[in-house]
Amino acid sequence: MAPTDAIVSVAGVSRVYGRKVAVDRADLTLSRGRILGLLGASGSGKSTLLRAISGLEPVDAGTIAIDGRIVSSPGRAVPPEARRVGMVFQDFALFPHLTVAANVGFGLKGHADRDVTVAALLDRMRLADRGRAFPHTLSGGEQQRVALARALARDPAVILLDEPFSSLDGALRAEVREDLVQALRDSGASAIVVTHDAEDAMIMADDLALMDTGRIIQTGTPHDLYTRPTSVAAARLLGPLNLVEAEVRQGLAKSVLGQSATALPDGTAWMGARPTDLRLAEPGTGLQARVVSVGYAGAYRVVRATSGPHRLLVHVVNEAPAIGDQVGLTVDSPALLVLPLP
Amino acid sequence: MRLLAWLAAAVAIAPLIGVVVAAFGPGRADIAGADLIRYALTSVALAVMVAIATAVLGSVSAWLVVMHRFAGRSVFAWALALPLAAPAFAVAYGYADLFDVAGDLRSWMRAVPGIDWGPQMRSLPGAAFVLSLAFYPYVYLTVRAALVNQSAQAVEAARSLGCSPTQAVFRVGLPLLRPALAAGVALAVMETLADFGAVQFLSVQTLTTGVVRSWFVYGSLEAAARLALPLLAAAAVLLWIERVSRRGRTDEAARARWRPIEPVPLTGGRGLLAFGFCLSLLTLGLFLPVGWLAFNAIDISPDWSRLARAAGTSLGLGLGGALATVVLATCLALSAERMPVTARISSLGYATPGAVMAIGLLAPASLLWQGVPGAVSGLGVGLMLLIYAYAARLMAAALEPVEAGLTRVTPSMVAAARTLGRSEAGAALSVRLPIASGALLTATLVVFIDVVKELPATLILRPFNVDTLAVIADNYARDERLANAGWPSLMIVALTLPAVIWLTRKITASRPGDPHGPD
Repeated sequence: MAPTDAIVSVAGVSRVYGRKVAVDRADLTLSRGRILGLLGASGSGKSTLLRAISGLEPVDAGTIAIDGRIVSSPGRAVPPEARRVGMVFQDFALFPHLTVAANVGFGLKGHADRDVTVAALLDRMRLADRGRAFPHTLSGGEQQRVALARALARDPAVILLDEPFSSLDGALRAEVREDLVQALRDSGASAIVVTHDAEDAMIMADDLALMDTGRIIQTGTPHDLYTRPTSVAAARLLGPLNLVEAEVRQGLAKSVLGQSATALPDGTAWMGARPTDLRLAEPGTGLQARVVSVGYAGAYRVVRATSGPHRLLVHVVNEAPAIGDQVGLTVDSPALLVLPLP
Repeated sequence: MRLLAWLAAAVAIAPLIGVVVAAFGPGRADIAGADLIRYALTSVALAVMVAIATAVLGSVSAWLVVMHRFAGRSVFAWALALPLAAPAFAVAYGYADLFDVAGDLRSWMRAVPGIDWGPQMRSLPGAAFVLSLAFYPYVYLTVRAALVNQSAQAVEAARSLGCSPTQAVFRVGLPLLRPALAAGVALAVMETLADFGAVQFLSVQTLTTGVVRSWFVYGSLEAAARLALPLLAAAAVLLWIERVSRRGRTDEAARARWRPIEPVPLTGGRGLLAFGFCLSLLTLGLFLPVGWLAFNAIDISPDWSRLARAAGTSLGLGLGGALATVVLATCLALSAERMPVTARISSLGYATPGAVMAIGLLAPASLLWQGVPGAVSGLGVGLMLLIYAYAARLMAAALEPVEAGLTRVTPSMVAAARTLGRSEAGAALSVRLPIASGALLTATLVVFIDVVKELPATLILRPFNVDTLAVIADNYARDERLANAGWPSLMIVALTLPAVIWLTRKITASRPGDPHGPD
């Protein structure tokens, strides 16, 4: 992310409701033409931050700039209609009293080329034959494409998507996600996607920002964040994690899972391993554990095992053990995550 | 927009303040304490009788229509609300004439079967009978909505926990209906306390007739205002009951697992009984009194030009009042989420009798009349005051459907309109109001119906020589020229009936939880 190429810059933004700090000194940069995923659990403040960027929510501290122009600061906010943002809502928010074409053209009131723009957008979104339909007659995927076309129509500087897949499920969700990413890439738009789903975030985004209790706790590429989280909260946001206590001495962390180099100071730390990084081994090798449950999850099996005070989760692709089996658990050193205590 | 909302709230609340100020004013108020108590006791007795009767009639008819299947059920579902089209005073004229000692029916009964007996309509029980038939639809509509709204699952859960079908109805079904019943009865009692035309004609002295008489007979604003005070207090209590009941109302239909209750088929004698009950209710509430008025009116030739002028005035005031009220209520509703208390306070007018509202407007009105000399402008000011009184009284009646309609607009739709280039007002005009347009029409019709039937406020505030159909009917009825009173009464029914049919069909055709259904 090159800051000079920033289309959206969020600097030290806070938003407070009474005693609750919804967004706490958040810093964020969206580079031109990229898709930024804002990932956090529900209540972490990510939607509030998105609404602040769109102008639907004021800020109590900090500034937000879009395309080099400050649009939000305490006591001053450019209204949403004057910000050049397009927003796709969780429930799509299509206007039920207007046809698909009228929805898409809603933001182009008074534009001479409105009909041409609408037709081109509908065509690009594979909705050319649905222009006269009303929103409630469309499938979930079609509704979302209309919502995106509507947001793109005004050629906004940035597209903001708030939990775009939460009202879809199963196979449709994956299909719609692919469509949406493709449409966003084709349009060349810069976008911020808010989601609580790690898979959605990692698949869609070029860059990720992780949010927890109102704060941006880490930013980077999806691969960086998945493999090198800097906190337990960040690691957990991106997927399940086995955690055991570790001792750090002179740059080396040691635990029952193994040892790994670390920059953390001497003392106690957490050592973590993803369920996919734990491997089953013969009894006597690695950490000794007893299998307490085995679940079938299609492509892999979910094995739960205990070892002394530790409860461990293992995803096994090959043959799974039986309940009650004694097994050894190993993990490659590079896959071990050493994380500070909170 | 918020400024307009404040204006709307001020419109609704100003006459109420006017009443309080006038009541504690320095002028003479020669009302004997005994009279005040007598009026109040009569009002209470009448309210209790109407409450009991409307509760029984409204809930039994709703229970029959929703929970059972019998011949005519789908027509009764909306037709049972039709008595709302007839003003209570018209029902009173019909029955008083029908059972008059010298009337056709009693004469025939004396001559043929030799029976010299008939109910005394000009009495407290007579008034209670008339008002119960006129106002039971309020209970019918609220209880019906609650029954339709109820999911079969609550009753089924009770069955699975060991209740027999009857026990399940009594232990689960009925308690779930209590809030709706309370709300419906509160509305019926509000209307009872507000009624002037019927009780005045039936010679029952209530607080509301006292208010109007104090003004007309004694010319005492202070006396009228003092009689109005207990009515204002009662209005606040009734409104509070209605609001609290609404909070307790369960909204099963909004839940995904809602399933309609399967009606029980009624065959043979039981089906006939159900049919007979519904038909009798409709006949007693609408067909008989209105039909009798029509039957007698046919014989006389009315002053058509006067009636046509009055019909024009009623129509004009109805439309003007409805538009003014709905515009103000819409401003209030659009800002309601940011100013909920203001919206609630302005609802107080709905429970306030029109006579009280008019008294509250008299003091500022007299200032206006003095300030604006000349007949033409005086007429204009007078009509504006009347429309003001209607708006203040009916703001809540319009606010409710408009608010309900606006709930169909999700916050994200408004936010979408904002990010697509519309200002707050632009989003309201291009998204919120068009989506709620059905609700705006509903609100307009509700207010129109009430304004066309309105009597006491019109009597007190109308400019000289301006007659509505209700005023003409009242004038004739005071002279005991009931056949003449029949024509304007029938014309009121003719004006309101299409609107009532449209509204009740729309309300009763709605499927609970339907996002595209009626507002």
